[in-house]
Amino acid sequence: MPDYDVVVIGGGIGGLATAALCQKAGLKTLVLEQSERIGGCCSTYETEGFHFDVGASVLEMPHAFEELFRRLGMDREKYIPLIEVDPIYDYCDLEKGRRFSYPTSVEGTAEAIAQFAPEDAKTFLKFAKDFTPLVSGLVENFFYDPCMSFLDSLKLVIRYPQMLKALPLFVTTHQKVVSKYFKNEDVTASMAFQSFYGGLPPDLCAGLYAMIGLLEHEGIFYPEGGMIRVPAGIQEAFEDLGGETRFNARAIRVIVENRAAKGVELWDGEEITAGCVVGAINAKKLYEDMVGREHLPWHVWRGVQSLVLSMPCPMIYLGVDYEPPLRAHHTMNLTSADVMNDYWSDYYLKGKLYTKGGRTEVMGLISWASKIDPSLAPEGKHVLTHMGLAPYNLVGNDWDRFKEQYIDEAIATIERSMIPDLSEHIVYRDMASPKDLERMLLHPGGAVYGIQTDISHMAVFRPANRSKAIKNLYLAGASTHPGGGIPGVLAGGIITGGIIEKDMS
Amino acid sequence: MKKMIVAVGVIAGVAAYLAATTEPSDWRYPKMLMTQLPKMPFRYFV
Repeated sequence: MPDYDVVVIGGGIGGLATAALCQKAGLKTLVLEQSERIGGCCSTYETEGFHFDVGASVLEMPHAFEELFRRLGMDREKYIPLIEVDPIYDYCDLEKGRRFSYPTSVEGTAEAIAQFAPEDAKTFLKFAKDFTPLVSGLVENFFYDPCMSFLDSLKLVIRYPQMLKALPLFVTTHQKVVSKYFKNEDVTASMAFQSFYGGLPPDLCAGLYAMIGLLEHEGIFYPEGGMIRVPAGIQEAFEDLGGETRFNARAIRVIVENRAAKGVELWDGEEITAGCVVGAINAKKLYEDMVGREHLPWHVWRGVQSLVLSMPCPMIYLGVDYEPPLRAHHTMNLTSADVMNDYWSDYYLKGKLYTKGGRTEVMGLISWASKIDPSLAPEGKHVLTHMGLAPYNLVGNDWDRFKEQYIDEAIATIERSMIPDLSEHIVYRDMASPKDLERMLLHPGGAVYGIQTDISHMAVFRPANRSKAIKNLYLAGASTHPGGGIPGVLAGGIITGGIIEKDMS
Repeated sequence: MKKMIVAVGVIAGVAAYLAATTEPSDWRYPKMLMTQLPKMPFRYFV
């Protein structure tokens, strides 16, 4: 008899969702978390009274949470209380005197656009009208179902024939979809940057990602107590069902015999046997480091090696002693889509940061979490996090040496474009570089979105939720279908939990 | 082997669709796909 029915490697939200569903199905389940904190990059840490979100800063597509808790037969509100965030974004470039915000309502956003681009306001409404049925259809039919084989794909199309209409969105680019609707440079930028949620610039990302610009208007939310409330809530639900979580339990190897997973070996030599193993970690790391080449057929090994990691997102954490002059939870440094594309090909891929007029411009998004939940900072103070976009390998430099300079350059960029007097009010500063994220979260290359999400890594070409090479091995998390980002990871956890329940019964 | 042939067929179809619909001025995306296409049949088995 194995020690457990299911052992999950990784206490991020994908692994926890899978674990909770397995436990609900009556399977004795254990979650192994390598650190002392739950959640991976969807988490929160505390220092000097400030509570900083490690990576993820907001929840989109709340129905993914409702779906999980519906399947668990539990009350989501009890475990993860959410606060609605409105406006959803403020776009800002003070140097150019440009600033505008998008509220949750589609009509309100059209009105905001009409202030500076009346034609695009009309096409925004058309965009919403065109994409709404597609979004709901795709989400209902593509998001919570396995897509591991061509047969699975065929089943999806038979059940939802309108999906064929969405096919061009898989092979065109985000940039093309957005450009078809919008002419104004700022509106185009505001609808194009979401491609980076797929880990690519607008002209390389699949057109499907243009839907995010509409999905956000379903409402975005922040959990009370910081982003850690999300994994902590799922963990509580899992443990209320009888599940077990172990912290500081780093798995180093999946025990494989005759191409079947039998359990897990921990860093201290302990072996835990299980009916099945779930790798809720980066798929490349799982197969290369924890399964090993000796257990994989040559063509699978070649497939694993060909997987491209998603981009890293360096994070800056700032504590300030005043209420910053921001208008929204998320403020975006307004950057044209052309600059985003050029940055990727001319700088990012060459290991460089973007420079303009001889100075470094650090692109990114500021989150002001204590605006939504004041308990995250000491009285009169606030927390700001900056999620940037920078390469893992820097030409002629190393992140461990470059960190302080990066923070300085990011703050200078923020002062020019979003918060003029920021540096005078900083009382705490720190950052997690791509290398830190790799060390802390065990994401190779600091790739917080797992594997890149372009058409060559999507659906049947993404590492499958049920391993095709190793029996009794399953995958959850950003590397597997449907992909990275909180809703994708949660949906992947739901899919994997469902597959295991079926397989084990 | 059968699966491999189906995979190559689907990929060739996607490539043909792209060739027919992509404007010559925008080659970054096709260029990226061209580098990824030969790897896709292997990824299918992961």
